[in-house]
Amino acid sequence: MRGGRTQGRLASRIGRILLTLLAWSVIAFLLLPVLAVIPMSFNDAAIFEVLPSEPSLEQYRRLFASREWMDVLWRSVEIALIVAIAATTLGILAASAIARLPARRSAAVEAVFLAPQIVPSIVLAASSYYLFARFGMVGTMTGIIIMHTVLALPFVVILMGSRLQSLSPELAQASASLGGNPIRTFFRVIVPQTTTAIAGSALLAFHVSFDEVVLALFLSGARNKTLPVKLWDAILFEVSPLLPAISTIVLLIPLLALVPMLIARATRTGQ
Amino acid sequence: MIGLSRNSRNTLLLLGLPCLFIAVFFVLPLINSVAVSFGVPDLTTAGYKRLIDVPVYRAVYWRTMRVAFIVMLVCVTLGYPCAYYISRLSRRGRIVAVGLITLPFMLSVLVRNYVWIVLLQDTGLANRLLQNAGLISTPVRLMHNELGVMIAMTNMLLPYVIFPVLGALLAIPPDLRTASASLGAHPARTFLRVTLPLTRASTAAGALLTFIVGLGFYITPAMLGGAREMMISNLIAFNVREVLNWPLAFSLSTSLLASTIVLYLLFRALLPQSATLKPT
Repeated sequence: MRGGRTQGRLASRIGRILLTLLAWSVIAFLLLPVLAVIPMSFNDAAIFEVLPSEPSLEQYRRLFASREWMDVLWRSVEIALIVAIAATTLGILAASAIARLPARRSAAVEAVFLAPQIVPSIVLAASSYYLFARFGMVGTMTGIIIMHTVLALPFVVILMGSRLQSLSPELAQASASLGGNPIRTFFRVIVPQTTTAIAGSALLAFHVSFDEVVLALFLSGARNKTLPVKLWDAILFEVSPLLPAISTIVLLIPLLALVPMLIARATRTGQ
Repeated sequence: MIGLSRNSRNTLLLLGLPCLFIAVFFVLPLINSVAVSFGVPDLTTAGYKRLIDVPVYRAVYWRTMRVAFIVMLVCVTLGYPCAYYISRLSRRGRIVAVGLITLPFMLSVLVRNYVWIVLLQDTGLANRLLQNAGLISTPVRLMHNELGVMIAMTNMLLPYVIFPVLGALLAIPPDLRTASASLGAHPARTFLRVTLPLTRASTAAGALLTFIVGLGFYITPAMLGGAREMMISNLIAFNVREVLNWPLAFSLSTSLLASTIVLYLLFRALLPQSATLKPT
């Protein structure tokens, strides 16, 4: 009897070690792209290496000196900024309305605004390209901005929706009963309580747009390429060693945006 | 608007602009593409018949389903144990692990795929490691084929299984496990008879989500697949950009859309309260 139990314990010990190994292997596998990109960017050799034999900043130097890449970078930033504003505004309106609706209707309306997340990008890209081509909007920044806003909207609605739900209704009710009209209640009561969520929504929308490939691929013409589109071209058609440097920068921008958010949250919870 | 309370009127006003925006720039293009696929105004299913008749298109469908299915299986096989491990960590350990898993989502989707090109190409890290270890003498083709695509897709879709399963595992009251052990059950038995059944729905939902998102992948097969390894999205893109065959492109995209919607409704039935996020 005792022998059996010891065997059982040994087996579960081995099982646990194997599980730990497997789990950490999976996590390491998931992190592989993130870890590989950064050392790759310090490489100047013509062959692609992950760990450069002679590290150098050559890639970064050439990147910042290139007019093309800088133009494209600023264009993407511009588009993403406008998308952030538009998506956050529309998203706040939608989320506020959804928060006021009774349960079943709010779920239905919310589903409409979350739909762009479910539809495959290629479907939306092809469909919007067809229509935009009819109206001569292909190759315009406006077209890209509009469709990126469509894509970013669900993220804002989800984020603002969950924040609005967790707000206590008493403050808004108090404001209404004291005679404040809805607009005033909104700006004086709701907005101050939700600034973090609003900022987070804007950042999220920015990231969605800055990073988006498929729709931009279809809707940007030869002249109005976004950064991801130019990256795409470079990857598929050129063999440009600038790629890893660009990739690292593209990684850094959202991370940099994340830092103020984390600081803000840390100072809030630290109080 | 007469007869509505002021409350309802305000709600409708709030909804007005966003709804208009979504209707014009989201719903309209989609409805239009479905209409074109049916050859409106001369209603016809000729486009769809071609999808079934022509072998090349059938092959693309079959390949997409097969790749997405295999990736789904791999993700569940690897993701469930990973989630199980994480669920047994301390609270801080869990936060770290979840943070690490979420980190790649901050990376541009192009970069996440591009890295695999560098790693999997003939002169890439994977092949060089294998050669140095003496396991192979000439480079193995890890890229421009289904294998490379599946590796990259697995890398991007694993979290879609890990998160729902983790949520379900954490929702199991710890007393259940203690009760099972105190009744004399071996840990493996507890797992099979208690834990597994309780996480069935979430696992299925996670798997389904992986499959749904995998069906619609475009960037990964384009970058890592060969010219002959097209998936449905690539075929749609080809017909739109190279050939301008709108009816065919929209037949493809409508069928993809329909499959996605049906499977997604199934997903919601399994896991009612989740909000999903897509990578590509």
